[in-house]
Amino acid sequence: MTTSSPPRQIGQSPRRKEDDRLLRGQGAFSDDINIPGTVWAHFVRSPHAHARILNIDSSAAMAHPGVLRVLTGADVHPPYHPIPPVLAVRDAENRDNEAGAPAFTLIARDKAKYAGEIVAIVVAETREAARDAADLLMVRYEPLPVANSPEQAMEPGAPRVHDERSNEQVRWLKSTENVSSTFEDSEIILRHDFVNQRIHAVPMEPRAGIAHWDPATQFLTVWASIQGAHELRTQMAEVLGISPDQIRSVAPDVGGGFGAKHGGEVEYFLLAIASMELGLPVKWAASRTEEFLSLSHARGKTSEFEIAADRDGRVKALRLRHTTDLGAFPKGATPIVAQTSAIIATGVYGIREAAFEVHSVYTNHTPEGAYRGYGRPEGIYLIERAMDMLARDLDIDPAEIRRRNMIQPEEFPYYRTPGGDIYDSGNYPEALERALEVSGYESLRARQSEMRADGKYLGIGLASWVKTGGFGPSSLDPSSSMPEWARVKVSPGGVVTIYTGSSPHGQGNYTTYAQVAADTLHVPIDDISVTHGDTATVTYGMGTFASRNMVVGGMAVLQASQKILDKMTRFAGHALGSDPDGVEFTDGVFNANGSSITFREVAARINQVLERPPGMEMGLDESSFYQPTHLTFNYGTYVAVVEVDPETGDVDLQQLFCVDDQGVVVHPVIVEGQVHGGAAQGIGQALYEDIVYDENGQLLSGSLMDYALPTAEMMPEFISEFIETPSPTNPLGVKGMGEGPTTGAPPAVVNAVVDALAPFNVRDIVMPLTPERVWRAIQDAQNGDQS
Amino acid sequence: MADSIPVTLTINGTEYNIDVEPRLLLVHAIRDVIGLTGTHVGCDTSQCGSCTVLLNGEAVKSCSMLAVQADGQQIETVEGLAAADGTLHPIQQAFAEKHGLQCGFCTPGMLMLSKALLNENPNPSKDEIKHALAGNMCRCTGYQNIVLAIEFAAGQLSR
Repeated sequence: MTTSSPPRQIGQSPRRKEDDRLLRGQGAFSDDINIPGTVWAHFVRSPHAHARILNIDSSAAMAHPGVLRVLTGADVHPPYHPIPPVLAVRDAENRDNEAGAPAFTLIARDKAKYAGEIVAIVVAETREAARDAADLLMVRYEPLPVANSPEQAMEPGAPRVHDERSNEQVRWLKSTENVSSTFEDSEIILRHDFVNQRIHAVPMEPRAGIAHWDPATQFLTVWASIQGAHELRTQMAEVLGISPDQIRSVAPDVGGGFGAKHGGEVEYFLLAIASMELGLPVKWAASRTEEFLSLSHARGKTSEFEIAADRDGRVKALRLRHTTDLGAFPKGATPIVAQTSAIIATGVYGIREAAFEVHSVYTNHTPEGAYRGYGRPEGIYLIERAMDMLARDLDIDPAEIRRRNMIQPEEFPYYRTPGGDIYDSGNYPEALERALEVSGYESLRARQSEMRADGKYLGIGLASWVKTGGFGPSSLDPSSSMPEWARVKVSPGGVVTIYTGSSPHGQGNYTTYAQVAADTLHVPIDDISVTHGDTATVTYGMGTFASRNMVVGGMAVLQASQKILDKMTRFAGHALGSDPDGVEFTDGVFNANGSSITFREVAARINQVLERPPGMEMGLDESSFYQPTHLTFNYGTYVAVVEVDPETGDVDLQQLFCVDDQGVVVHPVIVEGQVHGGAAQGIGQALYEDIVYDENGQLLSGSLMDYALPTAEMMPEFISEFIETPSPTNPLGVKGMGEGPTTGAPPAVVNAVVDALAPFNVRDIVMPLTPERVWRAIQDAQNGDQS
Repeated sequence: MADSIPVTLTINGTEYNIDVEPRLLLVHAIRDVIGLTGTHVGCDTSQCGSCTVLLNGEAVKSCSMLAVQADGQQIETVEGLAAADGTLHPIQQAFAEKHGLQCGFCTPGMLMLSKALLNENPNPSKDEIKHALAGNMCRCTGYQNIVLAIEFAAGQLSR
């Protein structure tokens, strides 16, 4: 068979198919779903970061009108189980700690391990009754000393978060052979301690869910605001001690996830337990304050970092000690995130020698989890800040020092880093040069000099970054297969339905998967629909995370579409009296022997009994698993332009120029939207957002009044450009891209602010760069007090 | 629990006579009692604006007032934006055209805020739009395409 396509859909920006419903207010988010007879749950959470639970008296709560049940830790016992730690975490390296990883407790029984941990569930006929009754629950606590930072938690005699084990879950070392000798032989050694502060993903939709156990059929249906329905089903079966075949899990419209909604949350399991106990549908919708207290945080890392270089600024070696705050429990693979974070710290540079030391530590804080970038932003932040420091020390332009150190295009494909990552492809210098050109870097530098003469402080910050996509077997976990599944069916009317295991929550898969199938099947995308997020209709799914939607999920759609086309071609050959190899598929029409048959005609006739070739079954319905063999690595260079007012410390972020290479761009408008949104989150980390605990482990930034989520006026102008080096790892040539902008923006912005303040000798400011911190950094530097 | 109070709300031209607890927030009356779930709840401190509706033509956060305070008033929600024949309102079309939404959760509030803004100021500058959006949060878009959509809608509406 040969095919020649109509104008390709891939690379076009058709209007998003998902928008119409959402614009009409007809989305179905979890809290929008109502089932007759539903009752409401309210979770009672520990007000203490660390406390023994001495007694729970639920009599007054139970006596409240409308209350059906109060469940405490004493009620949640086998056959119900805590969430077992994932395999990679159970096997995580720490020779001094043989206790393994703790399970994620569903509900505190003897002691509470963070402020916000659930100690009881009140179920009542209405939302209001459940909340009112929760206030009547009497819990007696004995507060305990708090493990309030990973550094403190690693000290001898520190309070233990889990009584049976020390606080350090992971201690991991990895090094190339000649790190020490390279440091000894180097002319320049730069050392600095960096902080990537703890932040929160803040998807605009707070979590919500309904669990409905039907005692008659012994079957559980769960609707939940999650990134993957299938993973929730798998975990749900383990936790409840029932078969996955007794569970239907649904991720309806999900209002953002950004990693934080990846994996089951204790609340959903407790809703299911409450439903199984009562035989009624039980619903919960989180308040924003509950989200800050209990939806996973991320990024919290402190890092001792040093690089060895020559006087020309060529970096020869790197040493890194990364300490991460896991919070009280391991959520998913969080304890090993710090490893993926550490090994990316050689960045886009050809640094040959590197030593990584990683400590992942439990504290009495909200558990950490995934968040857009999954450790990589923290690692890139270190090298990109250090590159600017080195440039200043050696009086080399920040662009030039990057140019001198970058991995060269001819070193691809499959460049192996000292940390073991295998970068698939790219042209890092091209992204840098393009970013310099787009931003008008030279004229910005000229303007900077002029403005300084007028007492105004313009700053220009570069960040050249790289980020994994398409998860995927990684060097840290080569055995992990992480496939994705898709099914494509064509109705007798020629309408195409795609079923995918990757369920979107803003990424636009309704449109982009339709584009992939349209290019294979030559069908208008209006004739293609996408179904996802329901274990009843989707056979298999890993879900949406780690920039894998198009790289892995899209490839499964492509493969299933190709199977459909193969079958249609065989049918067309039969109908046209030709061998399938003699059939040409052009603009949706199969041609052979001078006659033709359309896509729609094949779709209609393949269901008719007498028409098919011998041995061919009726219908057009094919599925496919795609198993990635490599990670992909998207990359780019960002340029931030700021003006800083040294009198007030106020940072005016004016522009962020983003040059990204994520391989083939399927839908430029959607991809640009991802750049804006990802960069906005990175800017949030750089300038505004901060999870703050007081000395007792109390969350101080627990609402949108206290946590500075960026608003429109806090955003710069985004200028987004793409370069394309197709990934050799997959036939679509895509690399994934959702997390790159979150990786590139923080160092670009911080480098710009520090650049602006070079005349004041400011060397570093800890994120977020609030006016107070900027102002203090200026004062300290003026007083000769180097930060 | 206090006794219920009868309240009349006119939403998108339809009159609803409901009995509510005095403490019930307007947003919960709209969502849970009347069943119009296009208006969303994104926070509990009136920062996010996902619950923005029009009350007598002005944008209000329906999480910040009681249902009883809206008794007898005219309310417009996202469900009332499109024309009776289903044609999207120019503001809705502009958000689709300029990719002003990703997950779509904040979108109803953004649309209602935009309508109030453009009623008041039919030709706002970028800075005026950004300022008007100070009480409406989006975590997906970085706001740039929302601002573009509102500018585009202003152009369409003034033609």
